[in-house]
Amino acid sequence: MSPRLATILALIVLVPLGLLGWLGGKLAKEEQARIQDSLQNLMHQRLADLDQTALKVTGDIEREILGMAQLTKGMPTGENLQERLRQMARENRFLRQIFVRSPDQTFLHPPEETDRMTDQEKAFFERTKSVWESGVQFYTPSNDASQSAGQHGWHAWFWGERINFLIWLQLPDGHLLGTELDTAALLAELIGQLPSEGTPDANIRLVDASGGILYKWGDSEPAQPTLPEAETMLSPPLQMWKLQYFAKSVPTGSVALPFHILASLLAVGIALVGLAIYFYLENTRELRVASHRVSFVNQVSHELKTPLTNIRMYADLLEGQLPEDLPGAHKHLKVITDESRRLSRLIQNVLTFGRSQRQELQLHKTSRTPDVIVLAVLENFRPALETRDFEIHLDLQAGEPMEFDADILEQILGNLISNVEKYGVKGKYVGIATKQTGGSLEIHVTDKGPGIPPAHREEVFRPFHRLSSDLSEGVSGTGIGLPIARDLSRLHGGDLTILDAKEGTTFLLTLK
Amino acid sequence: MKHSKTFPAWLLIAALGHHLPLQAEQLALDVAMTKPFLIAGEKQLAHMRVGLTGFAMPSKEERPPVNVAIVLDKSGSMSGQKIEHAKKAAMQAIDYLGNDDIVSVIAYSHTVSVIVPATKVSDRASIKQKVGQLTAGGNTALFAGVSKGAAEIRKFIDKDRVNRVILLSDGQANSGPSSPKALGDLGASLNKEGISVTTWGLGEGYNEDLMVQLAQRSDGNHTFIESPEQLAGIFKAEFGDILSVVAQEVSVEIRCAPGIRPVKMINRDAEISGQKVFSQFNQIYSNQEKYILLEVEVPATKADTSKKIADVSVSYANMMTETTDKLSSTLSVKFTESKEVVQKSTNERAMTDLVLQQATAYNKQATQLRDQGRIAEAQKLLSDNQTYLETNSNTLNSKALWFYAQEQKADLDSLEDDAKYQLRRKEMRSIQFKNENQQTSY
Repeated sequence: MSPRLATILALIVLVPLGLLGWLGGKLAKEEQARIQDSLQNLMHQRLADLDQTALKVTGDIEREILGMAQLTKGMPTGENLQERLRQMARENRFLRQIFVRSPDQTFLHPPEETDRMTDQEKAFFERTKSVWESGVQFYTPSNDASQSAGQHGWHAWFWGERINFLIWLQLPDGHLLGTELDTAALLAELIGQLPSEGTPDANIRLVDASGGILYKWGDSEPAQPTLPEAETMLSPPLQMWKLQYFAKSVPTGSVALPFHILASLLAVGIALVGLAIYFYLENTRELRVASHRVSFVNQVSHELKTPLTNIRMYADLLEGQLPEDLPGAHKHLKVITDESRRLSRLIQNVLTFGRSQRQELQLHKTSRTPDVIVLAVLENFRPALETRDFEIHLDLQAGEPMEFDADILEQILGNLISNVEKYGVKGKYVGIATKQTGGSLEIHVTDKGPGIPPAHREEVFRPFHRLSSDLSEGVSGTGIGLPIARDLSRLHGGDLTILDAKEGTTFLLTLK
Repeated sequence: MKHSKTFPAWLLIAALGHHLPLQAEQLALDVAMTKPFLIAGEKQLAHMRVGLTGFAMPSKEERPPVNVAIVLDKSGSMSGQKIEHAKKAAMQAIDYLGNDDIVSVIAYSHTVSVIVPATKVSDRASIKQKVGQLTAGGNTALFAGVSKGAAEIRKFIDKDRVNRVILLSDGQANSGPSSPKALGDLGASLNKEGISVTTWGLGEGYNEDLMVQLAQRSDGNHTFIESPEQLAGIFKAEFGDILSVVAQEVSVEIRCAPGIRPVKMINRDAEISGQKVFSQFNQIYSNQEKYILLEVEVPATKADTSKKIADVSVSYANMMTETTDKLSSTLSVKFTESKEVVQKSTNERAMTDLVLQQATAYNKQATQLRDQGRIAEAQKLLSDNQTYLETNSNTLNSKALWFYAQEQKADLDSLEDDAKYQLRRKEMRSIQFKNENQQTSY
């Protein structure tokens, strides 16, 4: 297989395959991104649902505590108030401590006098010291006291390496009623409300501000510490806690072609390779057929050569033996001789072409006089030319003997004159000029036919190429005469070209 | 019903049988000074003891229904013998319960699984089957395990039920909140809901401070279990306690008389503000006494006079009658110039308890010293404590004090060697807890 054919076949297979693969890869990548996206969405949705659970827990606690705060309305002050508030804190699992702060920032409860404080209340002041020192107001102050009444909210602060929460309520009389939440109870309630199972391929975690795990559930445990696939902050008031989603197997990074794309690529690849093989077989079959034809023509030509030689030989013999007074017979014999010469030229051309295709042409130089050969060739054509009223003009200047292949010169010249005979009928003129310059031979062959346009001058030297139909109409030819003539001249170190001329065509043959 | 004809007679018998033992049983409140006579003319510290004894359960059938969450450690360290014994013991325990009781089983490792959601104990076979399928592996999410246990309890929480989480762990809590304080806070908040947490530490690996805090602040039981074979017996004892609760939400309020200053509660958490002291028990078990010891400062008083020390009032939910009952008592002290009278009149029982509680406090101090590496000081303290207990066991004729003196000796022997002490420490904390909370059943 020629490298060119191999390249073409490879391209036929690889280019579409590559293109398809690229498109498939792109498609797969996009699909992957889409799946990732929807997975991310799902995970975030899941976390958002869990956040709602947390929000419900804090909302319920807030409602419960604010509802309880309503009970303090109309409560007695002093000792009895404290008694009641302590009782309330003792009974509610979410409460560590209740406090009431008057507008002038003093505490009605717990009592500020140390001897009336319980140990727990002392600890409360210790824990909340930073809160009071920060001067936080809780409510948004307003000129109209009734505006700020009823305001409530959460306040978070760190103490003892833990987050702590206050829920506060601004009372109509300007007092602030507050409760300190029991963080452990809040977390326990949250854990109680969050699921424990039911997330088979994931591990979901509730983590604190420093990333410490507060609670986690789900079957799969990431083998190594990895980053979560999705993460969301809880809604206020628990915004310092986060929910993290660890998926067991999320396709990451490397994009593997999905099976269906791989399968179709394979199918297309097989089809293309099949096609390439079919092309290759077809191509070689045609080449084989063509070479069979060529060898057949060569063989036939070769087989024709011997009988033709015999015909020519016996025609010559017959001419000598024929009496002079039979002009008709002489004329007929001449036709036989001329036509057999033409036929042998044709056969010679075919054989030469075959050899040139097989690169078997060889030079056989001998010392001869060029003009003698020229005249001998012209002599062969003379009867045919004269029959068609051609004017023959000779300018022969190559009378010195020189080393060259006479058979080749004969064949080239024969082809050129035969060309004039075929295409120069209109001009009825043939001019042959020979010249010897320093070891090389130049021969001009001129006709006054329609000529060859400069653009087509090279085309006439291509095998089996014939110029426009009106030129070649009604003219028989093999289309190998001129190509052979040029090949032979080049083999002989020279060239065959067409010169610019005012009318007709002038061929310049150079032999070295 | 096919038996409609015999029904009235059957009902009559049942009704009669049911009403026979019905009588309003009350807790017994016993208020006493360790020394009813005080030396006259000097300011001094005195101790009062408030004891509450559960009445006898009228009959097994009438006991209040219970709501128990069994929270089992199934972390990797539990695998093998431990989990098998725990499973077996838990399955056995199901049989102690009646059809009206509620049970849930939770197992935790790094995550928590609700093995049996809170359910009435009617289908014992399926509950046991689920427990039997437990396998061990993973970390120890103790906080989450207790939280989930409490959440299961909460589904059927009822003041007329005995609500209890039983926690078994053999390892350090290492997933989620894991400080003794965090677990203690959780216990305190559960206590407010009437949920007690009983904590069992199995083997040498658990954190006894965490387990003690959790039990103490939720008023549950605590014990150190050396080998898994003991689990069956421990389950039995615990259920014996749970099934014999006769009073819940027990609050004790002590109002000290003018001039009497409450100093501290010796063996229990209490709120002290001004003259008022408030303490509580989550439950009182049948035929068991729980007591508190309060230290008060008494001003110098003339001889041959009497002085009121405090009014004691107790309020509790009577589990038999489903009513809130109140008890009250007043305590006075007399003054004499005779030291002999003071000595002779000593209330031996109250005094024994005071010595035991004080010895327990010393023992706790010794634990702290040893934890800080101050071995010599701890040794001295334990040795003194042993002498203190032995002396008093003689004068007060108390076996309990003598036994505790022997424990001091065992404690002393463990101090030098770190590994030995770490194991002994679990026993020390467990005994301290039992003394402070009068955990007598096991």
